[in-house]
Amino acid sequence: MKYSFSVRVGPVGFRVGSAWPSPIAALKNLYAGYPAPRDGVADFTARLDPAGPLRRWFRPSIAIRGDYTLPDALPMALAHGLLAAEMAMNLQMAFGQRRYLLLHAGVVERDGRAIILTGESGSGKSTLAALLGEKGWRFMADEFALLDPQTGLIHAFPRAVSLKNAAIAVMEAEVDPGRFGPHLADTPKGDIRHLRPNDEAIARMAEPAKPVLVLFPRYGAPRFMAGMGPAELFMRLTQASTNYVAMGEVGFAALSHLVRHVPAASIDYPDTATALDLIESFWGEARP
Amino acid sequence: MTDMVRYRADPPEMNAVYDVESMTLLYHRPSGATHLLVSPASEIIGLLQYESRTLNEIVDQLAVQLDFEVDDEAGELVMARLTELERAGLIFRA
Repeated sequence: MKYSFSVRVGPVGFRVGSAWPSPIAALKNLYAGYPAPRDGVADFTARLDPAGPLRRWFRPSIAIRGDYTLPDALPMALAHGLLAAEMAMNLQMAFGQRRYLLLHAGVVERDGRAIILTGESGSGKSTLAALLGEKGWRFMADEFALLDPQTGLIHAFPRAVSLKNAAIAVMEAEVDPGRFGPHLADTPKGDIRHLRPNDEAIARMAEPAKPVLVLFPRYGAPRFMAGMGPAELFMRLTQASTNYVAMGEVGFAALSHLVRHVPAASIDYPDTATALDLIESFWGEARP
Repeated sequence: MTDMVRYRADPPEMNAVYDVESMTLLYHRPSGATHLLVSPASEIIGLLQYESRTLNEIVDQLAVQLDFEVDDEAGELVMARLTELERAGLIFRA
């Protein structure tokens, strides 16, 4: 690949190659301050290739490739190159990660204890994780929670936060504009803008945390909270995992341990202030 | 009730099992499949791990374990569970 960028996020090293310079320039800006992969060796390689023989120059469009590929994936416009790079890295993790059990979740930490925020797309977990990261919590993850089967700890994976639609303005009101990537309009997921986690999240990315609470937020409903039993939690977390099946019995044991030792609840909230209040109240009860 | 068929389950070392509240999480090692079981499914598997049994034998043992009367309805319910477990690959015909 003519243009490339290497970066380490938590315990995982990536190398992203591209046929065009602009996505790599955007990545370098977004991941300013992040370390390089250990020993210079990436765990995963992602590539942004031209979608056809002429597509490098004529109406350029990107095919996401790498160690793992989705052959039927639709190509993306070069204008959305940063999003394509982020999706390419997600793809490598989702298909190739075997050291950690992956949960599609945000994670925040305080005093060495972590809250896992998981749920369906649009639930607000990314926005909540990003907001909490600016309000006294350490931001650990937005896309993937990395559960270590050997220790039961959650390892930080502080990739850039993918903010969608209304969440963009919420975070623009909170943080330094220099931490944002470009505003990407009309992507397949709507309007997107990426946010670099703050300096603390980057500096402490090697510090795992003990999970003490799993929350299922749901945005847009009246304030409500309900506890969730371990059997339902187990079922929902297998659905939230991209590599549970591939991990085999190791994944089963890791998830079984989590649900037997970590309480869970669903929280409905009409606005972020209510969500933050609910989370702080749960935190007060969850701490030993 | 039919009593010609003998059922059997894999020995205990073929499963990884955790109990959570009123359910059992079971990882079936030969298939790599994960199952969530409620009573009497886990009890049925327990009865079949060391020896094969017929439907009537299973019903009789469960009636002692779970304290219910042996009648046609009980037999039908247990037969339905046996069918489900067989489809799931957790028991088989000996």
